[in-house]
Amino acid sequence: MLRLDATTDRFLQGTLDDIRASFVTISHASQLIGTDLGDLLTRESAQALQLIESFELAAHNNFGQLMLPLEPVALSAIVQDSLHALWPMAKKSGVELRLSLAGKYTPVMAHQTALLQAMNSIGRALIEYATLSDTREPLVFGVHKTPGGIAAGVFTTQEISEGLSAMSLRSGKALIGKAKAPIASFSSSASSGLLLADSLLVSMHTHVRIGRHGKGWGLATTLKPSRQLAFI
Amino acid sequence: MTREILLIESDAKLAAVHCEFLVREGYGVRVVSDAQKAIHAVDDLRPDVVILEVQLPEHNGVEFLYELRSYADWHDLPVIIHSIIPAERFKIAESDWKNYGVYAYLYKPTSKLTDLTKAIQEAMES
Repeated sequence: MLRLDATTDRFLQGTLDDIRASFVTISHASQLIGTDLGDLLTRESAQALQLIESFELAAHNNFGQLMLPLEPVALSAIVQDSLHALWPMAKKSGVELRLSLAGKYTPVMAHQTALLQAMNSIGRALIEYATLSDTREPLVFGVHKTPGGIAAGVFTTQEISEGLSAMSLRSGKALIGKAKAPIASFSSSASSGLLLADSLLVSMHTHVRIGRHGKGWGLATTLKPSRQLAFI
Repeated sequence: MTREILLIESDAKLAAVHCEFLVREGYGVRVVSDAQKAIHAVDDLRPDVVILEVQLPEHNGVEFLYELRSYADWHDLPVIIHSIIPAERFKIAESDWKNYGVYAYLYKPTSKLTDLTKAIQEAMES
């Protein structure tokens, strides 16, 4: 795999810091404006900042000097943190968020920051998706056991089969870098967020996939339990 | 009596935004753009709180912090780091930041302006 040398890695870091500073300026200035337009700018800049964070982690992990170290992480806590982080966005969008954590789960092997960013990207995409429907079904941030491990994701009972499927995810991955919005049912920033989430999850030996939770469908990922902690 | 804040920020646009915000919140604000000027500004202004961006030209904010704490007069002056650089990148333990009188470390990309006022109020009350 191609790896960047230290100089290029620092250049990438410096450029990302500069881009980040510009979006922070927009975000903080828009908070001062305090109108609907200000709110819109705040949300958009927050989304851009999250994309930058995800890109930075994925780029460093895939091409740079950093390998994301995996450690035991409580998946339920990550899902709750993600719900909490996205609550203001969901409220502004008129989408109700619910938590569904039935039972206790063994910690999974993951990189905490990267996993939270991946969950946030999934959540943002689904909140945006929910606003396309007049019915605005609640979104469920859920965790459950599967034969392959422990799954976490964001789910809805809204009809998603046409717009979002395993096939649309696969073709989205194939179109990355070639199309502005590689997953047709999402905006370009939400699509990029999902594909970056997938790239981050690859470092944890998993992917974004279509998943089921109770009666709902949605986007999820499955992680392996920590072997060490499974025996405690 | 107006509470005084020393804002150490090298990005002029961000400094303008944060200065405007803090003045609206009722604070007196002085902005300096580098660490060397900041030590003189502390002596001159005698601020209630310092807000510090650690990514500064030439001497960085961590060096400023070490120098500030070397003066007995400024041992207890609360410092809030408000930075574009995440704390993890410094490889400095949270307890060490606290030992150097850093009241809070706010990462600009994920913090809101209201987080800043909350940290300032708590630092002033502490």
